[in-house]
Amino acid sequence: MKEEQVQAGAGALVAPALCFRGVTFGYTDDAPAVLSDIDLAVRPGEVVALVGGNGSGKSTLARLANGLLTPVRGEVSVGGLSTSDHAHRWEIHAQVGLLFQDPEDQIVGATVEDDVAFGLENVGVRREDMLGRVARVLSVVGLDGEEATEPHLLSGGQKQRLALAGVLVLEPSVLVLDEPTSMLDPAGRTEVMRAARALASTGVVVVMITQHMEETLTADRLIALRAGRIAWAGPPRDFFVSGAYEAFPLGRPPAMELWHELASRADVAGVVLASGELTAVVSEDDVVAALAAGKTVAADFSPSAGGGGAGAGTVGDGGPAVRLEGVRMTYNRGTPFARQALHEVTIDIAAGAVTAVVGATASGKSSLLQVMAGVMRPTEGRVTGADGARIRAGSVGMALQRPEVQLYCGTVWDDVAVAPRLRGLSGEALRARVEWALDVVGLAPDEFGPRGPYSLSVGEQRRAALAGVLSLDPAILVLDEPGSGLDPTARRRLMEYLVTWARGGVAPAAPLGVRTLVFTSHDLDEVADYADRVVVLHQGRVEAHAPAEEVLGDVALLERVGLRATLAARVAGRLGSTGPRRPATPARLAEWLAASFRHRESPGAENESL
Amino acid sequence: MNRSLLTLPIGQYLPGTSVVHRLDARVKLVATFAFLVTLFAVRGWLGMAVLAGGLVVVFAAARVPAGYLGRGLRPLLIILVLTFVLQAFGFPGRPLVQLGPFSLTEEGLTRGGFLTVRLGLLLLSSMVLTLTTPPVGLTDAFEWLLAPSRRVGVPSHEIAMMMTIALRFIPTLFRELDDLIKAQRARGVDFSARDPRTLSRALLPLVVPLFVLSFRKADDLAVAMTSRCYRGGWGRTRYRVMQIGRADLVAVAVVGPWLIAAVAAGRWWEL
Repeated sequence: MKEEQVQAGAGALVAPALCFRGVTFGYTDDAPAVLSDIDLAVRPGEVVALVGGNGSGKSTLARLANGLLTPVRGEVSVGGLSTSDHAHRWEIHAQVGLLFQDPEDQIVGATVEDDVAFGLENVGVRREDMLGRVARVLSVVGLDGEEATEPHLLSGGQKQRLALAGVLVLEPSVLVLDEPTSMLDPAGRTEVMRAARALASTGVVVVMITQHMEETLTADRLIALRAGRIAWAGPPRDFFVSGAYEAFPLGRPPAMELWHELASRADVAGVVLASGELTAVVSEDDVVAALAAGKTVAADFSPSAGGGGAGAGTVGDGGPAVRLEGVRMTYNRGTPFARQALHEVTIDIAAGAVTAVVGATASGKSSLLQVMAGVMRPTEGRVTGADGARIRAGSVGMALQRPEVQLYCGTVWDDVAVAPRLRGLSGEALRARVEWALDVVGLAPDEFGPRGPYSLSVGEQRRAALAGVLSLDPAILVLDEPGSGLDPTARRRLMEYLVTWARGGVAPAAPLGVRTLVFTSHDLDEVADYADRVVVLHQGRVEAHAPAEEVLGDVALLERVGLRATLAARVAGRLGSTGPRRPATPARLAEWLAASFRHRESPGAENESL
Repeated sequence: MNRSLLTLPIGQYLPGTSVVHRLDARVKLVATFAFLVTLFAVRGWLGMAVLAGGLVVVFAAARVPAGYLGRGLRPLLIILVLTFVLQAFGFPGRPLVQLGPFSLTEEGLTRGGFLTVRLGLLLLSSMVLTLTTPPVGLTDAFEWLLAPSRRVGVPSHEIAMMMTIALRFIPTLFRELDDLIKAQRARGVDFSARDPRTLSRALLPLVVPLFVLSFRKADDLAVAMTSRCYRGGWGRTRYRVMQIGRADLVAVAVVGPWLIAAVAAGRWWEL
């Protein structure tokens, strides 16, 4: 132990709080190693972002750090204590806090305060000391006032902060976050990231595993794993600026994406190139700075007529696919737990369009979808289809959040075949239907059909489950958060398959009718990319229902209902777009910028400045 | 079919600040148990009336809304009615009305009424316990009462922890089940079959995913608990303290004589 401290001291001024030396790990002797030759030393107060594709060994590394697993070869040490030495086991568990993806599965206590105290009870802290520590930690994560609340009544972001509090109360010197934000909406993600960063400033090591590239930019160091080895390490910006990210299945930060999109447009490109480095623009701040340097001037945005992009044209003029009239939904009616999820909702969902339903947590999105799909009867009001008849379960394709849990057959093929078999399809017709459904979601029937659902990756399972809904060949498909919990690449791919289906782009098994897609999302950038129309829900009421660009550009409305505007709208706002309708998509932002430049170049505008 | 499973009010804690809510959970648990024992020891109508009257007072003190009570009993009504009918027609005695092979007897009527009242009081008394005591209070009380048995090898802490976790995950699993039912119905699976063979096949799409999900959750939870230093009851301290206050002593002083009075009244006026 002494020797180690000397060695570590020789390398850096501060002894590492967490140290991996030549660590190799495999779950069984004959299986290939999950991690090989990992060398890593992290200083107190350092924030390390750990990235890599599925199965690259990130989660295993997290468990090695906490001593839940011990290396086959090499050594992991925490504050100088080796995890292989069983005598330090509990000391190390307490020193290294672990936070996982799903907060639901980490909460033990029956109430918020009980859960936070759980770790303290385990290590035998005296009760008098517990009271103060629990209260302090709850105020750090912003859950003071919720002490007696039962965990299942908290929002997703609150649950994850509770899980964080349960870990923090043990005063760890290392905090390992294993994709803690992947199940959260943007607001919840910001909450958790802010709390993690505040901790690092107090000297805690933060190792953050994430699929969101914009989150890595705030780290001091980025480490990219490939096939169980450290394949890249260095400052996060360099990872993207140098193009090193291209060798990993990770994608790039959304701001970088936006910048490249802007740069590819002739009317903006001149300015972009004038501002110099095209590749050094990685974050939202960079985009704003680069565009400002390109001397844009503020101008009110007036949407041009007949522009391209989502939401334009005549989609959705074919009459309603679903009509909701005076729909109310009350849960636990007549008990003290009664909660009204929907108030007097009256809307027509346009046939042939892609409609996004957006709103903050508990705004009634899931209830609206389930009422639309006929699996839940509204307390009051009518829900009818295009033919005017009441919608019943089974006439609308529906998938709730994380639909992969509904897979239950031995093979993917059988699971996709469940619905058509129940409709009496068999033989060649059944085979054609199943293969078509698998094709729609991009799973080759020959390759994936015979496989067991649990042998697939999460993204593939999700797509298989959706194929099991598509095999009904529904005219209407309603999906609750289809992309939640998936990494950005898998998420984008899934949305593209679905939108292609909605636009009739996949050769149909049955004659192609009008297809209507309704989905909910927390992520307005995703909505901007795929939706024609947007329904905004707020506390169970419809606040807006209009073409996507109109809604997404109304930043005041979005702010009022607690949603974060799109990246394009935020950039435009910071560049001085003051109009009531901001450019909310990359295409509109480019147009707005081009118009601004022209304005700038025209005589008489010389004196205007940013 | 459309009714959400989450609306079942049996055994749900109803937060409140009444005297009954504030009583120590151990006192309530023991008192309920004593009540149940007395319920089966009491023989006559007068004794039953003493018990019922006392329970009404307890409900009033707990300030449980009457409507809520009715809702809670409604799902159990069928059991009560069934008990009454079976006894009334099944008990040998002087026949009053003949219905095919069955005869309604005077003795049956009395006995059915008595048993139904007894069963009703049994349900109501356990309801008053769960309505006024948070689940965590019950598990704590349970662990405390079991603690002496630890010496003979009963893992009292572990049993209480299992109860806590079960209670904690019941709402989660109910929600998952509710979602599964909806999702499989949207795929055309029919759960309304009455014939057991068809029904058991129809339940497969619920049972398999729920099992997989529960195992996965159990695994994740075990990892999370270990990483938070959980190692069983060894060397553990407690965040919650249970304290016997004056109200608890008063409750014991009142409940004891009440139950004894009920037994005495029953002996005095036998059935």
